[in-house]
Amino acid sequence: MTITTPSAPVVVSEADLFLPAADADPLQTILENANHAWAHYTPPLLVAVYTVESGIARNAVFQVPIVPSADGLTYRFEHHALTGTGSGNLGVTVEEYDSGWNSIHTTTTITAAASSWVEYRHTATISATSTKLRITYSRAASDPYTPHSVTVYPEPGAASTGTQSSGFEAFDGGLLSATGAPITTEHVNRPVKNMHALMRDRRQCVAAFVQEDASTPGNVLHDVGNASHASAADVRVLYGRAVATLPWQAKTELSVYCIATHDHTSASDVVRFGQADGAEVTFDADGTVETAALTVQCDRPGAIDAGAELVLQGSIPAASKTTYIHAVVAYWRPGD
Amino acid sequence: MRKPPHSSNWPSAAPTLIATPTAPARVEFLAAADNYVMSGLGCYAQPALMFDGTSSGLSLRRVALIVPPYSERMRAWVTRGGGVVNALSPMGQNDTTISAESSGSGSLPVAAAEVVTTPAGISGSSAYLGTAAPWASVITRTGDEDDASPSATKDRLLEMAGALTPTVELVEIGAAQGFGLSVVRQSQDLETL
Repeated sequence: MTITTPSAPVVVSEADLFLPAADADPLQTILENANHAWAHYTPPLLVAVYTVESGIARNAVFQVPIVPSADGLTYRFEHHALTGTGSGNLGVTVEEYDSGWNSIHTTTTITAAASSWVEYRHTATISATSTKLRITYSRAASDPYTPHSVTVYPEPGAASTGTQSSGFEAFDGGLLSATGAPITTEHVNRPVKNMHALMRDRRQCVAAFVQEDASTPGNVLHDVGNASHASAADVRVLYGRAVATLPWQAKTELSVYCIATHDHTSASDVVRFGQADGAEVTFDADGTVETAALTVQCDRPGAIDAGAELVLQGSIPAASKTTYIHAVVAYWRPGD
Repeated sequence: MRKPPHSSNWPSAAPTLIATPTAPARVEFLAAADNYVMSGLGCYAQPALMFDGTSSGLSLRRVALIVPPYSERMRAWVTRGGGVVNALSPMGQNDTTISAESSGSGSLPVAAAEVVTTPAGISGSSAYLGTAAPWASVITRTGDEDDASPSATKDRLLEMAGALTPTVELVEIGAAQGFGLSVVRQSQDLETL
């Protein structure tokens, strides 16, 4: 009995589908292709290009809402940074938050030559109940550096036995490879159920704007309302504008998450995220993770490059006050 | 007989599952299951990345992006912004540049001629979106010329590996304040990948 997880899907030709309807293959290939999906269907949990001051010599801390897999998967992290002078090592610490902060990866030994791009890749397991990631960058000897981006995507390895929390249940090849093994309706249904479970479980990051975190709000590169970016109360200031691609969609729903803070006693609805010329959702700046559902009507509906122009705006509730937008992330999953 | 990739929306509900234990062995059941799995494998959104690529020291940004299976060509949506100046003597801005390794190898920079260069589409002093006053912003889409071996940098399609599995593409973006990719051409015969 063996669970096979192909490194690439095996393409079943249309001709192969016709004759052997009662044979083990191509059904076994289709089942193993669903096993392949477990390991290699890797929509990013997070892609963020940091909006951050360049050439900093202090720690940079980013706090980002996430919606991880229910299966408690291992994820691949890819960090990029640009160093300034000096040769001090870079450090990266990644923490997840469920009932409290837990470190899931830390290092202070990333070699970092002067004035060079540094790519640091690692894996870490994110528990199903996590709601936030906190990523801290540092550089030894107070040498300057600029954190640029992080990309996080599933890398769970081979499918394992048993039913996962997502509903995925790996196919065991022994069930079909034995001589004279029966083909049951369960065999035919299994790849469909498994693919459906994965597609609905692994949410895809479709928008991100990330600045330094709430512990030191003044570290954000762009706030709303300070002297250099002055605005009157309730005037919308554009903080992000970009196009997300949602292939084949016409109308779909995104889940939007936000962390923002302020220096005012009340700051309701000071962060707005929405579609240009479309619906929008608003968030308070209270330091907690806030969430809202956003329905988007895609441009180029039904096309492979269907998508939506998304817009992030901030405002202040009163003159001489400040709003700090730390992270806004939107997620999508096929079928929503 | 070639086998093209799935070219319509991944269904939100699975095909009708077989409910009876005595269902006949029908090719439609196999075809539906195969189609469902293969179409799901290629279903990837592309994120709208919002960032400051204008302020001091931030004019060149690097990020790893996931390129879906079967992808051969992509185009990018680029956001630019700036402070509005006297229209009679507008201040020019540098073009946006995009360096993509196109192979999933993880290595940059690419050859100079392979850098995709997109006109700025806006004039005025460069400033991050709404942080200047008055300000303006524009989104442009990179060019649709298909030239996989350019002799000089130009505005053209981004060529991708076109594999059966997703690739991680290292991308370097110059002079932009927002970025998003979209697949515009897939391999039309999965059996040759």
